[in-house]
Amino acid sequence: MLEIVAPYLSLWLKGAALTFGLAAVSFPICVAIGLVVAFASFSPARAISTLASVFINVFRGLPEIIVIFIVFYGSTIVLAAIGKSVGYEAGGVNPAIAATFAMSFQSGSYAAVIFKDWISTLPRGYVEAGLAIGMTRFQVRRRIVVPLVLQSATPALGNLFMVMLKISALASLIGVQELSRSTNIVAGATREPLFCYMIAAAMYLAISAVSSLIQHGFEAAIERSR
Amino acid sequence: MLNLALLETPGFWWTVLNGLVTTAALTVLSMAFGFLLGGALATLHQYAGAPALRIAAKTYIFVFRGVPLLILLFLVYYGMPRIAWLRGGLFWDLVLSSPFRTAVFVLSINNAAYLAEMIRGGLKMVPRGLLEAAVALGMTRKRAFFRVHAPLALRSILGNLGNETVAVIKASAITSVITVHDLMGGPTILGKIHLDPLTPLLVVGLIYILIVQIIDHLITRLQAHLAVEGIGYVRNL
Repeated sequence: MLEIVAPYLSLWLKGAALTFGLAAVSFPICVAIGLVVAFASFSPARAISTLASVFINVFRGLPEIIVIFIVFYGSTIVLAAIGKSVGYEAGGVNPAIAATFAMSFQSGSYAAVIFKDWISTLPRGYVEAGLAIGMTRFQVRRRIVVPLVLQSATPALGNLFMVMLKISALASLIGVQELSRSTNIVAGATREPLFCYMIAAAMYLAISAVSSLIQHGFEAAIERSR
Repeated sequence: MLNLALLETPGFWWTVLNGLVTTAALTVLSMAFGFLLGGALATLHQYAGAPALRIAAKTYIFVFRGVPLLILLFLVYYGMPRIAWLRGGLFWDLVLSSPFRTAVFVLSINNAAYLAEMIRGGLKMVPRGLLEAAVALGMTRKRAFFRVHAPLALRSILGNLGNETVAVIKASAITSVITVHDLMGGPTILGKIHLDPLTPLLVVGLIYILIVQIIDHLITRLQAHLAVEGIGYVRNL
């Protein structure tokens, strides 16, 4: 059976690379969104903290598949409307970009919950000490809170990355040619769906295994730096 | 831009209601089956004497936590019917012959891997002293398990179970790709027929958010109700 699917190997590897790429590009954006939302939820301004909790609750409640579809269809419709008003014919939205946005925002809300929990466990004294030696609130956050929180949240963030790898499979449904989509193509062409999906499953496991090795490396490095 | 005419189409809300029932059925069934299988896996992983059984349980958990649900659905729904000897067998009649039952099957085996880890954590959290006390009082091991160990473990993982239920509700939306008409599947098909993909997504999206809020609320109430002085439950992340 292997010789039937062998010609498609490069297509598959490209798909696997894109799967990893989607997660790898969305991940830093999602961490940034998570930090901003987590800080916003501690804001003394009522409007801002409410907005943050609405953001978290909306994305916690929405299935990933719906977010991806809404971002894809919604941005196409919105862009077309804007284009019309300025007399410019907007083409379709690139599905890979739409998927990246959708994944970043949704995982951003998950990251926000993680950061919120860790921020609330930080001893008050750290922040007070920073303020006492004349740091601004922003400096305290950038130099004290964020590094500490990122360190303690590394295991949870690693899990989040694994979740994102799996969510990225849904990008195939809007036409991004990542691992799942290329598997559909190979399965259709070779008429060996069982074998093809098993190989895809193995590839996902391999990607997860490599990522978790990297994660362990990170955690060990943090452990040493303490 | 948005075509709200779809909301007044006869049958739209009926489809939504039908989908809601299907989603509820998917969630309840796959939580129940997943819990049974997950409990068995957790017990094997934690207490099995034979190393082979432990390794088998660990492998199961690793594999089903690592493979995306979409791939599992495609594997079972499109791949398995290619196995000739499965056709006409019991598994065919019970599972593969309907998209809904395939979805329940896939969600359950996937869910079991996550639940196994939770249940294992819960069982480990119960202090040894409590179990020894139960045995010292003359309970048999079985009775101690069902009266002391299991209830306390269950209580400590209640928040995680709530989160898992939410995760399953959200994941069940993916089963619409194998033509299950759940809360996501039914209305979006209607949207495609009426050339309006966005409106049904926004409507069912709101409903999902609402359901998740209700479940969160109920779990928090239940946790507060069942809280025992001195034995904390796991705070949900």
